[in-house]
Amino acid sequence: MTEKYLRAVRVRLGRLSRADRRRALDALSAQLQELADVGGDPVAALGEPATYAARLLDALSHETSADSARWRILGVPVETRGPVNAEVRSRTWDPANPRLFTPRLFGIGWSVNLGAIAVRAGLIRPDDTDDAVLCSIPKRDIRAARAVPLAIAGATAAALALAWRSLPSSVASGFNLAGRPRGEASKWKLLGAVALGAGPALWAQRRGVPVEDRLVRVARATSLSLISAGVVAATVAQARRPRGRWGLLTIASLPVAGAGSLAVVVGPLRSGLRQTWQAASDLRNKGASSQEETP
Amino acid sequence: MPASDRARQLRKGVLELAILAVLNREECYSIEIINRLDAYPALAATPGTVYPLLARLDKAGLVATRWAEAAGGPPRKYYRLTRKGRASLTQGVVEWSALSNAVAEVLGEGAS
Repeated sequence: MTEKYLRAVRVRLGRLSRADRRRALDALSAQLQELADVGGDPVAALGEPATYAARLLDALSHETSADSARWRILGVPVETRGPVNAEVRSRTWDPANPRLFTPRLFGIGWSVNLGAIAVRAGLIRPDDTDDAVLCSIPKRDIRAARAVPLAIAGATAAALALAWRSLPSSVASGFNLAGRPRGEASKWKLLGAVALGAGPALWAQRRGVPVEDRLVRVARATSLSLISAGVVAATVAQARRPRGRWGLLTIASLPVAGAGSLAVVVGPLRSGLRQTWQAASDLRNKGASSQEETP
Repeated sequence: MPASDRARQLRKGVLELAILAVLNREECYSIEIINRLDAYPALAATPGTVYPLLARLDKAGLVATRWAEAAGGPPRKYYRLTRKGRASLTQGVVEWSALSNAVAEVLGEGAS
């Protein structure tokens, strides 16, 4: 019983650091041993293992929120869940969180919190995004936002199809910071770059998800489709005019991707805000006029 | 544990109660809430702490919001207590009094 209880608690403490987990489990093991010595029932004395583990997590973890990575190595956040997890995805759009950088959606390092940028740029206030505002976003605005990554990915694919025959069999495999090619690879690798934009653009079309999450998906997809377009454009241009430093196009696509992803979230959101403000103003005017009519 | 960490831990549950108390006096917008908490150094909180708390209180139905015109700017979101919020505040006050009396007593015993 003691071992079973200890095991059931252990599997629920994955969020704690190794040292904290070991300390907590050592203390629990001693406590369970004492209970076993007097023939006590751990569940009766300490509660269900899940409840006990939840209390331990509450007591030992610092204020963990959606902007906390799953792991840390030498203080650098490491995320293993990736953008398919809604909680992880919400980090890229968290206006209530003033931190500009949050742990990356997947891998090591940090990513940009678009919500904090929108707040600092004065485009929205941190508590603007509520259910009333999200519900007030006109459907056509959401449709338009969803079409953005699809259009960019489609245009990239079409441009590559048009240029395909004129491309040599091998193209630049990547670029250094000076914009020069790092090596050569088959031109078929360009299909991978197109897929980098097209895959997320299709994923962002999924219906039946909350409006805010839908916009966050669109923002991610827009960002990736713009980067994909930058990579394809740089590679095609490099193949045609090998003397240029076309790799700089890839670097230039990063701020463009940031601005594009911000626009596809803030645009619809501000439409929703305008609708909400208008409704509040109409309600106030209606109240004032009905007061005037009352003798 | 450094004092600042301890203060943060102590404040964790109390801040929510303090926000409910601020809103019990009158309807406020977010910056007003932050400014009123700032008047008490032990309760001073950053927007990064207050905004998620407000969102949580709203989700739990303890506060309600409405948009109202603001002088020289876009409309502001005002927060007010709901009936459920007032009940939660009343209960919180009782719990806090019991807790603070007990802690004061224990600390008094420890010091004497």
